[in-house]
Order: sequence, then structure tokens, then C-alpha cells
Amino acid sequence: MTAAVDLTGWTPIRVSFDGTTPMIDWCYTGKERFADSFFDQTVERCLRRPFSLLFRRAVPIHDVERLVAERPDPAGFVFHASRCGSTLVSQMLAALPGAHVLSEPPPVDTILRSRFTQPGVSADGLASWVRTIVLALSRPGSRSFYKFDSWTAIDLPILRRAFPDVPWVFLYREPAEILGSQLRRRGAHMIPGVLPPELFGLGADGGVAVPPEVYCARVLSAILAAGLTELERNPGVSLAANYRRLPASMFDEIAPLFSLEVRDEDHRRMLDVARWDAKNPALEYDPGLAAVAMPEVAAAADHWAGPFYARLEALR
Amino acid sequence: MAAQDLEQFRQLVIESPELQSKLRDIDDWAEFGRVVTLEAAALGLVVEPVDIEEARAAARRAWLERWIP
Repeated sequence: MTAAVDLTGWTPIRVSFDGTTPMIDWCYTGKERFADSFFDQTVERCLRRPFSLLFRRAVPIHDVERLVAERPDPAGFVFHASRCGSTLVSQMLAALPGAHVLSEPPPVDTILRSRFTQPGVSADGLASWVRTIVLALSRPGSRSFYKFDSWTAIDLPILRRAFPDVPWVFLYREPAEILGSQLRRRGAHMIPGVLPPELFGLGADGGVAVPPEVYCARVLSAILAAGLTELERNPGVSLAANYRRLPASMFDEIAPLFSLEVRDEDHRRMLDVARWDAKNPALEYDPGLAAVAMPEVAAAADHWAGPFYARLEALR
Repeated sequence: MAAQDLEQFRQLVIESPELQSKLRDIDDWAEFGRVVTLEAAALGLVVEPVDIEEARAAARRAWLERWIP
């Protein structure tokens, strides 16, 4: 690749591996705002355009590293335990002028998961790849925010190594409410075998021999424990935010942490976003739909995740 | 041969901001096929609308199957 390559208007949408080298798959997205609830929804829309679908380009990560080296760090990271209002937070951030919000972008996850698929990569090497893909997803001239997949909390040390100065928030919620919601409609991390069981500290059997509520509670406890550990290690740049204080904590805690100036009109726009179901903006948000857990689910949540929840609460 | 010509044309487009600007904002597949056929022909390449349809189907399938190892 030559220095003349111009990737303005192009976005990394996928990472694959050519041997041990990550190859970044770029798609022309133009000025499309990543304002959907999830990154892939915006990508899907872009891929309906003939040029964006057929004329993609694969670039080795070491070439991308040079192209994005001068880009500024992101303005903030959002980690979460799932079903905790993280999509609401990302949608409220996206309502700010000049904000570029990447919500659970799969290219970052593929790079992070490469510590299982590419065992030869060092910690520094992985942090360098993470830094490159995160900066590649940013948009020059915008403030970039990233809401990661919930299991990415376990990779917080890698992201902290790549971006030690970027402020981050960890969203959490009553474990029984999270599990009640997950057992009605599970996220990928709550389905045994979809993600490497080692990620959650589960044994080689992947925890499949236990009841569903126990498996999910153990996964949740691993995520809460990871968030808690890094919050305790990084008090200056991090914040624990409970779901029940949203959206108010967006203004009085998260915005100051991210050094955001929220003007009156921004405040109104962000509150307007909060009126709608963040994952389906065609519907009004109904807090009455909050998850209610069955007794066995509440017991598993309390046993596995309760202690970490209590310590997160004590941090506040 | 046609598939090779389409791949060669694709490479030329990736290297040419001018060609990109002619193609990237076209939303309609029929119009896109027409412009690709003309631009490819101007470069001595033979790309038929059916080649583009096949490439479209393959690209959609590859995207939908992206999670399959």
C-alpha cells in the first residue's frame, strides 16, 4: 500500500486473518452517521449501496497503523454488564453534535478475541492492534465514543493498556434483573459455546453441564468482577453507574467524566432520545417492562453475582 | 474471463478516486451495472450486468456468513 491511499469516508467493518496478520476490511460509508442502536445496523444500511457492497478493500493492520497514528484518542468508553442502559447511553451520546458513536463494533471484538485464536501475539502486540482498530473506527473531526460488547469488560486491561488516558464508565444493574432479561432473550455471551469459555473463567466443558440460570449467573459474575477490579485500579478515569440512575447520571456523572459540555439544546435532544426504547426507537421506553426474575434465577444471581454488585454499589 | 475483468476493474477503482466518485453514490443496481459496464469498457474490460449480479449475490452471502469460521 502506498502513502497516497486515502480512506476518508471509509470505515472498517470486519477483521479477518491472513495467517497471523489481521486484515482490515474497509467499506465506503461516506458521511453516514452511526446513529443506529448498533454498529452493524448502520453497516447493513451502507451495504445496500452497490459500491459499498462490491468495492471493499482489505488492508493489513500494520499499514492501517501508520494511517491512523496521528488521530486523537477517543473521548470516552462505555463498558457494561448488558441490559443496563448502555444502548441508551450510546444513543444519548450520539445525540450530541459532532459525536461519532460506535456501538458494539465487531472489528474491535474480533481483535480482542484474537488472544484465543492467535496465541503467538504478545500483550503489547495485542494492545497495539486494539489501538489501531479503535482509532481506525474513529472519524477525524468528530469526538468518538465507543460502547463495547458487555464481555469486553473482561478485556479492560488490554483497552487500558492501549488507551490509558481515555475515561470510561461501567454500567451495571441488579443481577437478578439482568439475568431475568437475559433468560428471556439471551445475548451471545449467555449462550454456551458462542464465546471462549476461558474468557469467563469457565472450565473446559464451558459450563454447559449446569442449569441455564447458573451458567448465565457465572458469566455475569465474571463481567461484574472484571469491571469492579478495573474500577478499583483506575479511580481517576473511571466511573461506576447504576442503571436505575439513568438518564440523570448521564448529565451529572458521565458527561463530566467525558468532559462534555452539554448545552440546553443538547440536554433537550438527549432527554428526547431517552423517551424511546434505545434498541427499538419506534417504541416509547416503558420502565414497566423491567425484568422480573424467577426465584431460582434470583437465587443464582444473588449467589454468583450479588457480592460483586454490592461492592460496585459501595464504590459510589 | 468476465469475473477476472470485474476483479481487475475493482482493483482499478480502488486505486482511482475519480472512478470511485462516479460509482459510490449510485443507489440503483441497474444504473450501477450500466455505469460499471461503460467504465470497464473504456478501460478495455468486459463486465456484463450478470457478472455484477453474481458478485452481488456472493458478497451478500459472504457478509451474512461472516460469523461462520
